Amino acid sequence: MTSREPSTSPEDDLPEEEASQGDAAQGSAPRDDLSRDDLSQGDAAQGAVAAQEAEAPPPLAAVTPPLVRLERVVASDDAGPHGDARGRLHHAEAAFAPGVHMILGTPEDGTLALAHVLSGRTRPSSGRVRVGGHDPARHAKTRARLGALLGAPELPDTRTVAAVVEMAQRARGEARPSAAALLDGRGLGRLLARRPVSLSFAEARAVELALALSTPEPLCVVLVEPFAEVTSLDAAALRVELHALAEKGACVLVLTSSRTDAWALGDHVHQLDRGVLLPALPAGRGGEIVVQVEEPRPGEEAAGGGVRALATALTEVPGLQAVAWEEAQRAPQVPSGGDTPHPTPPAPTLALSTLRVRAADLDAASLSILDAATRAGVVLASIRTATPPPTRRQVGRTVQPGGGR
Amino acid sequence: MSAAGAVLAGFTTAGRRLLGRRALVAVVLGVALTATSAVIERSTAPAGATDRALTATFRLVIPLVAFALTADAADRARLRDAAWPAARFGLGRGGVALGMVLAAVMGAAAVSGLVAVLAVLAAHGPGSPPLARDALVSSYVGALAGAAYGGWFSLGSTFLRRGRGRVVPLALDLLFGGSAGVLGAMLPRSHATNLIGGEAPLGLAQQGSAGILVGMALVLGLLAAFRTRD
Repeated sequence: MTSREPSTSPEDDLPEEEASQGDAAQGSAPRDDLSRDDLSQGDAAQGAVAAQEAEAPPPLAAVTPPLVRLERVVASDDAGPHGDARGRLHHAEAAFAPGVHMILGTPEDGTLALAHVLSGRTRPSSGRVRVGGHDPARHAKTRARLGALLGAPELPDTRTVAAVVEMAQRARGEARPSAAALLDGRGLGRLLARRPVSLSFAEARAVELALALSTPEPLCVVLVEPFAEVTSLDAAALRVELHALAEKGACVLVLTSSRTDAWALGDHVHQLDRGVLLPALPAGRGGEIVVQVEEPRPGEEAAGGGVRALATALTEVPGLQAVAWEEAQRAPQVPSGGDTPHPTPPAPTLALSTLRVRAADLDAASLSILDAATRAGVVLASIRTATPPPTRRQVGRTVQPGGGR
Repeated sequence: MSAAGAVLAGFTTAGRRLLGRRALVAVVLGVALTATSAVIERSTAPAGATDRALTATFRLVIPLVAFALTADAADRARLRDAAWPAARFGLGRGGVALGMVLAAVMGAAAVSGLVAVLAVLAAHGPGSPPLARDALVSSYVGALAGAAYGGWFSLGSTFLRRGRGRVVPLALDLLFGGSAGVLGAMLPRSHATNLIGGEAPLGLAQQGSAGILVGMALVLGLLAAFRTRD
């Protein structure tokens, strides 16, 4: 997922269907309408910033067409007991350009479901997944250029680990398969003669990780918790390797529940929250973060949540310069007529409030907002930096109905 | 890797599963059940003991053993999921699945033939037909029936979570496989019964039943692989 909206995008290399959707590729389309109001509020300053951006070379991720795309994907994993779903994706939309992307979330948020559809293990119930323009669940050649370390190891049952590795290398079209060359270099040579079923969980994951990282000409590498439960892991070397893959043009997607890992590695950090993939979390020094918060539905206010609860939780967080919010106004319910014995209540609509946070360190502020939202039981619809950075006067104008500190 | 490579990968993966402990337990149980029932039949009434032992073997033991082996070949999962460990590296899922189906069909055929021969050997008595010829015919019929069950259960493995769709043909065969009507003619047991000298479904000749069993193994197995393709 690209974190910025590029002014131009070279779509020529994409398959036709990808190129035709280029405009929607740079973020989460369903969220666009949610953030349009906020964007319009900064129109006055936008011209100046656009001029500045035209002079400066845009960041690599901003001009590179997305390699991995999710379009309204509904999917579930089978990692629960008896093959039940542990997490689900709800109309997930994203477009990921080459680079290292961290996706922050738990299996219950849908990280395993996301990894399964991205790797081609399962097809989504609805929606589309494209890696390099093809559906990995239907295109074997795409899978050959796709490295995957999923939640649980799934190695073929062959005679030895060496046979597994060489089978994988042959399947991927490698001319001279050599299991020893691959595993010895990673301190896993002792596993070569073992049967795959005799490997421990961490050993099997280490073999899968080695295979994933050695994918020839990789389009995409999907890794679930690569820093945990992996034998003989050199975390620093792995970080370097992932960035090297990204520099070669691969889209590296790391799914983790560790915020420390996410911020230590990712160029772009996204959050997967209860099946919804939020745009890249703001990062960098100084600025304003705009958060859209789902308000509780009528009758559910007692359960807590909403922008006020989040703002209250943020008052305890040090390091934030300012917090302000604009509460969504629900349409008043029409009183029921006396003639109708059982009037049908109007369907509750989703109300989104806006919270703005100014901070000197956007990385820390983003984490604080996520922590506070978890503590307060608040559902976030989106989180992004304010573009362009509004002036102090504009901030004051946009938050008229709310409060602040 | 070519499509043949994918088939080979699927065949070896499923073959290793069929040589594992779970499959071995199923085979041992099938053999024990067959031998026990045949010995009981012979000790109860030697005349016609072979026919009764074969009928019991084809009614219960062969379907259950073929079911267990087919499920093991697919790692007791849906065929699509069972093909994933090999297909994830770029092999075609359909090819891998076809290899798995081949292994399941061949394994079920081999064990079913073996069990049928065992029934003949254990139930053989003074009034029985010549042993060698009886054993040869029974092994051939057992192998055909096992292969047909392999095809049915492989196709069933492509349905429902964890491939639980394979239970449907098993239940249908246990309930209606003894019928000589249209429903019975769609299931392996009625044709196997015809081949061992029982009632013919829809009045078919024995060659017709043999052809249908082969057709079931081929067509249903290919259909299972087709349903699992990328």
